[in-house]
Parts: sequence; C-alpha cells; structure tokens
Amino acid sequence: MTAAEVIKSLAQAAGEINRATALANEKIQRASDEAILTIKKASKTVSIMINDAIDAANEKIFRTAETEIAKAVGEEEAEFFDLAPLKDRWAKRK
Amino acid sequence: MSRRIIDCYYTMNDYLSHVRSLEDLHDLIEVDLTSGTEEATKRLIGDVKAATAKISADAEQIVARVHAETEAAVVRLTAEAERGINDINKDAAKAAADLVRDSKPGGGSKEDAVAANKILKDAEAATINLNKKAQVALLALAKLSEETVFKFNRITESAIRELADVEQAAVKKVSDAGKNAAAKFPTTTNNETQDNESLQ
Repeated sequence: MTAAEVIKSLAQAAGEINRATALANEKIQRASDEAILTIKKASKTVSIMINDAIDAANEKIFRTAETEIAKAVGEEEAEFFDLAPLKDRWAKRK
Repeated sequence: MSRRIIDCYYTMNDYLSHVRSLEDLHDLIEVDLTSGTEEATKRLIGDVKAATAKISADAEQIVARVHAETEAAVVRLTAEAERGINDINKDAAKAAADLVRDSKPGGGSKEDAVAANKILKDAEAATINLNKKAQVALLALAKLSEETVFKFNRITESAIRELADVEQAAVKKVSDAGKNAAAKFPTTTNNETQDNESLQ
C-alpha cells in the first residue's frame, strides 16, 4: 500500500518530467526553425539589395557612357560605339 | 512522413530516451521503500540532467548553424558585390577607351578625354556607392544574426529553467510521498522484508 502510493507519485512525477522535456524540445525546435528561417530570409533580402545596387550602378554607367559619347562625337557618330555589352549587363540582370 | 517530421520524431525520442522508464523506478521502490525512493529520486534528477545536457548540446549546434548560414551568405554576397564592382569598372574603362580611340581619326580630342573622364568618374562614384550599400546590408545581416542567436539562446535558457522547475517539483513530490509513507508505516518495509526472509 505504501509502496503503491510512492509509485503513484513517481508515475506522476515521471509523467510531468516527460511532458516538460517534450515541451522544452518543442519550444527549442520551433525557435530553431524560426532562427534558421530568419537568417535565410535576411540573406535573400540582402542579396536582393546588393543586386539592386549593382543594377543601379550598371544603369548609371550605361546612361553616362551613352550621354557622354553622344556629347563628344554627336548623336549620329555615337551609334557606331558598341554599348551593347553595357546595356546587356544591366538589362539581363533586370 | 516529411523529413522535418521524421527529424522531430527522432529528436523527441532522443530526448525522452534520457528519461528512465517508470518500470525501472517501480522495481527499485518495490524492493525497498526508503532507499528505493531515494534512488528513484536521484535517477529522476540524473535523467533531467541528461535531457538538459542534450538540449544544450543541440542548441549549441543550432547556434553554430545560424553562424555558418550567416557567414556563408556574407561570403557569397561579398563575392557577388565584388564581381559587380569589377564588371562596372571594366565596362566603364572599355567605354572610355573606345571613346578616346575611335571618336576621331588620329586620336581623341580634349572633349573626348573629358567625356571619357566623366565615364570613369561616374563609374568610380557608382562603385563606391555600391560598396557602401553592400557593406551596410552585410552589417545588417550580421547584426540580425547576432540578435537571432541571442533570442534563440534566451528561449533555450527559459526552456531549460522551466524543465528544472518541473524537475524540482517532481522530485519533491516523490520525496514527500516517500517520507509520508515512511512516517505512516515506519517499519512496514523492514518487517515485510524480515517476514519474507523468515518465511523463506
């Protein structure tokens, strides 16, 4: 009878510990998923930011080259300058 | 079953495997109430310690993974930005050189040189700007990574604290039950054991 009472308490205690361990595991699993996802999302955002900055720089160089060449040699002559690689780099990235 | 669920399932069993089966503890108490209760309590504490150690080790791995993911992203994105800067400089230099070389037969005029210089200057400004933007973005990523690790560590510490609280309450419950039983029936187990020995 006395052993049965202690065993009952023990069963409850072991059950509580099992539940608490599972709960702790669940919490950490959720937090871990969230942490990894946060970094992946942030990496993607930074990648977009950097690519946008590269695009903006490429566009600026293309526009400057186009304008300066036209100013220096005139609109008609400017057509003979091959700016396609500059334009392509910017347009392709877009 | 998806990979994540399988991982969770194994992880869960992994944690619970640190908590001893009730059957083991049951046997201890049946053999001798006082020492059995004490031993069962000790084992419960040991089991929670083992589960906590496993949780801490896994949490450290997660933190290492967050750092590794961040570092890999920074390396990849830095290389991407450097490639972009090199391409811009190369393209600007080529456009400027073409302008000086091809504009007029026999060499470039002063206007061509000024225009070529403007292209190069703009390219320089564009690459400086790009470099700054990339640095700011990468620093923000590194900061976010540290904040994420800090938040994750806090959650882990809180989970471990909660587990420790449950452990203390559970141990107290078993210990109290043992003490109550011993107080109510101080000689039961010894007598029972002696009786059994006499009978044998």
